[in-house]
Amino acid sequence: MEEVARKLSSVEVKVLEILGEEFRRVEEIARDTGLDEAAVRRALEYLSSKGLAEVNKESYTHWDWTDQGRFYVGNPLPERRLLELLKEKGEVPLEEAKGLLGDELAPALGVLKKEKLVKIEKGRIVLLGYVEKFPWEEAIRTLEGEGLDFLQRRGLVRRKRTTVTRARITPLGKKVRGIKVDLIERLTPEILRTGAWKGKEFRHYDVESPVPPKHFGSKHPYVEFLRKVKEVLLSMGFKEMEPAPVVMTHFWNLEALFVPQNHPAADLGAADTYLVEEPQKYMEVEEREIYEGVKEVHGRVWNYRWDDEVARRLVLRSHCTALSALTLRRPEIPGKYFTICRVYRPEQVDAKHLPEFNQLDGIVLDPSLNFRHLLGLLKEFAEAFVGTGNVKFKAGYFPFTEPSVEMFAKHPSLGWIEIGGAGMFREELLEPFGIDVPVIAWGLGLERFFMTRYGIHDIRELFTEDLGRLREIPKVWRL
Amino acid sequence: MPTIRMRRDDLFRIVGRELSREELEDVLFMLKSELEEWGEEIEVSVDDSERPDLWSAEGLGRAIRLHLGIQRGAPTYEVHPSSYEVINEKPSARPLIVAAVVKGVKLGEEGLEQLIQLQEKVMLTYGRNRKRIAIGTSRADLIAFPIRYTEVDPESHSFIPLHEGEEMTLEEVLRKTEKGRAYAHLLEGYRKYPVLLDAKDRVVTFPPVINSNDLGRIDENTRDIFIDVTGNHLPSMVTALNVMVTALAERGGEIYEVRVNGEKYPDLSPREIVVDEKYLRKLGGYEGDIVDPLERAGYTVLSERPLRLLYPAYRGDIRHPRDVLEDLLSAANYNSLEPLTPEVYTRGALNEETLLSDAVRDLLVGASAEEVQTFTLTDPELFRVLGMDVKVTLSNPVSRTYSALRSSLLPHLLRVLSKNVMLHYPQRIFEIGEVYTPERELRVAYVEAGKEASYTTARQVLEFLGRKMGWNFIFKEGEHPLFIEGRTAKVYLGEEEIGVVGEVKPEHLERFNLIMPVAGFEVRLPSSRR
Repeated sequence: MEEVARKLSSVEVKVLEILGEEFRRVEEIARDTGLDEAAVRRALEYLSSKGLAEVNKESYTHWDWTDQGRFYVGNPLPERRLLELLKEKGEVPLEEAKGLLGDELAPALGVLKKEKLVKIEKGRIVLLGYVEKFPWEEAIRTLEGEGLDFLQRRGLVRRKRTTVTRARITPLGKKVRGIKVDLIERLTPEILRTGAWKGKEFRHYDVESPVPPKHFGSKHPYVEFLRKVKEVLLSMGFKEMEPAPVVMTHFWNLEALFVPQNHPAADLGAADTYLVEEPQKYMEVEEREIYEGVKEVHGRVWNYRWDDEVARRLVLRSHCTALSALTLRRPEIPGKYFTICRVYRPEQVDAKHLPEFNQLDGIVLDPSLNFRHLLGLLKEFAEAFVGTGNVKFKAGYFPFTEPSVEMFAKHPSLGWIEIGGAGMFREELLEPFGIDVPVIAWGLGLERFFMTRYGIHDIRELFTEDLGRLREIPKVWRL
Repeated sequence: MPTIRMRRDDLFRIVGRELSREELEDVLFMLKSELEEWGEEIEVSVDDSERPDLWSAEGLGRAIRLHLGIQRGAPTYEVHPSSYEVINEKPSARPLIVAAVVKGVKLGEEGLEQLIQLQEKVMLTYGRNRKRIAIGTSRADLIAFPIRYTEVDPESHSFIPLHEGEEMTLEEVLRKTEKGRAYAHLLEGYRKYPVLLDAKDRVVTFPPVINSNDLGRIDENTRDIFIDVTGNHLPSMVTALNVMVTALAERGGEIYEVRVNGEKYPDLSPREIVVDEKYLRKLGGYEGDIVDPLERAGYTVLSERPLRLLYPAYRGDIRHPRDVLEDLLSAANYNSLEPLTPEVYTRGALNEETLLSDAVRDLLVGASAEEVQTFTLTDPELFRVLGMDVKVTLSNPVSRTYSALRSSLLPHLLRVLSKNVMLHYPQRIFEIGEVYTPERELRVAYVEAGKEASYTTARQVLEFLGRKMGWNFIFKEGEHPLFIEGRTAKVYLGEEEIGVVGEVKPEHLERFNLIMPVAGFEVRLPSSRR
């Protein structure tokens, strides 16, 4: 029996010490000993095979969230979002609802139609009734009560089988526990000072059993990814643009880029730009000469009535090219500039849309540049960011560039994907800045590369506040 | 950007031959378009909001025909003289009008669908949802000319609006019909409404709202069509009219002029532009043939030296030699141009904020903290419950959650802690990011939650940061809504206050369901104020 006691590992000793006459759950034992759960299970297996502990396993089924369902614990269900939207507005065109709810529109409509709370009439969703709370809204949070079957059919909760392992000590275990063996349990400064270790053996650890995970300092994976992107640009000789406030005049966001006021390119118009309410709605453009120059060119080329109110309106920048415009004030020629900047769009948040995200934009200024250099530069980017030189170009349209191009690259797993857009700044745009050399301008979306690479399907995860999730994403050590 | 649908065989009939899917995709790529759907019906998205001439089967078919070389040079159109007349009395709401008549059109179902689609897309995108341009189409054979474009009292004239069953006054149209409600805002503030009246004083069109059901209902058998374009921006109205009539000409329509106060419309004679060939070659880096691609882009080359070109009247977007350059290169096909690597030598550099953020990030990671990234947009309510406020708010938020710019990082970090109460402690997190006070500042904030967390532990981390960065922080007793009185210090760098450090008040912890002490700091990164 003493031999058995000597051979016990330190984990086994710890577990054996805490076992009682009554069955206790593995989780409790792990908590009270500070050991990893898996380590406790292993120790119990060994103890049981030596007849020192009795292990009992029981299985039962219970409700649990699916991955998708877990998201809705802290977020409103699609039908609630739609219902609240309708409560506020009475009715909403389907197109608009699609824009606001995205993928969530179909399930939301399904539920609300079934509950007879909405109808669709001439392409609009019309509110028929309002419900303060559906029973399943409570159920998705608590996993109790009415509506769980309904949630299961929607794939938000599922039945899960869980096995509970309990253990207690056997009479033999008690005897072994009582035996004193002369082994060093823990090497301490005291033992080292006194030399008490001499001639003694150490208690064996179960070195193959898991240790509890521990988390240390780490950089945010997406921030780190963006930083790697900057390194690539740096290696190509690009200089990072100076940062600027996201609050800027409409003028610098659009007009300075030769985009006429109320331009039809919807994603550039005011309807797709956040407008600032406080502390002030308007601000004069400091650079009067540029301002007057831009105004003059707009009048001459676009032939419309310029509205100073619109130009002075404060907005949150909606695209990074606005920062390129600011850089045109005092550029070096030859010059190569880039920026990774945060841009803002009034979008309803869903798996594909965020109200703010990052763009990569840049410009190159030099008398020698031509359109083929632009294509060459884009190809370099495809090689650096997607890892392929297999690209094709499409004629594109941006109000500030001519010629304009969009680039597609053959991604190893996604097929042809759009990488970004580029063009040569129009001469009418450069004129008020007094720049008379060709300027190449380009912009790339970054989220997609990152998400593909790290298997992220929901764009909201880029800003996740779930530390557990962040810890799962591997270190970004190269692009 | 407009997305247009059409029948595939109809498109190919207009092109003059069939194309395989790949062939069509390639051509569309050079016409700034993408094939979205392929079947009996196809769907194409056209990127260019300045090219309404591509927004129909007729227009796209014509462009493809040119691109493939089936037809060469700028298409020409004959405009027949006529006695059709519009008298423009310049209604104040939209004082301009241009018009044309097209006769003998063979619309059929396809043609009718295309006509309606083109009209709608032009009004919506190119016409700024009818603000800049509204287009009416009516039965030329039923109208008694001359037409008067005038303004009338909202109650004075009645007509049956398109697809409605009863006669209504203009005022009733705005109230009772769907289109009326949708566009009433464009007439807001005007005491009189614009209207087209024929010689028998019948309403032809009530722009920008709706046509008459009697005179304005076009069906697949309609042969003679009167088109009016009203608005306040003549150049784009002229383009819209030219786009409409030349599309109808693709279906056998003969174009007839309409005199508006003596001016003849439409003027479809090709426009001329002179371009320096050297300019095209230098900026394009283009060495190939110039004439063939320009012809395939729809230009007629009058002479090569100097390069004198004619382009069709439906192209309202050609203003500058740059526009010709793009047409030349895309017709030559971007994918046939050999990309060149730019050889411009410049020294790369990161900006000061990036370098500063890098240094601070490294140090805090070394202090065992995990970096988080939260939105800069925030919920003002989150700040309010913490006794703080936001300084920059938005006029048009989509939801309250994202209706202001954050004025501090700490509230977001507390929210992160509250979402991770099931994870082991201690938890140490930090964020580097912008706040708006309302001035932009780049800041770093750090919080730690755990049994040992205290003013001292938070300040130790901050002082570690300061020591390594060479920032000699001075701590002075102060107050902050987040922190316990007497355990809060304002952080100074020289004379300047740059942040705060302290222990979070238990009432806030309770609000965030935190049962662990929390301490932390937030400081502006020196020399980052703008």
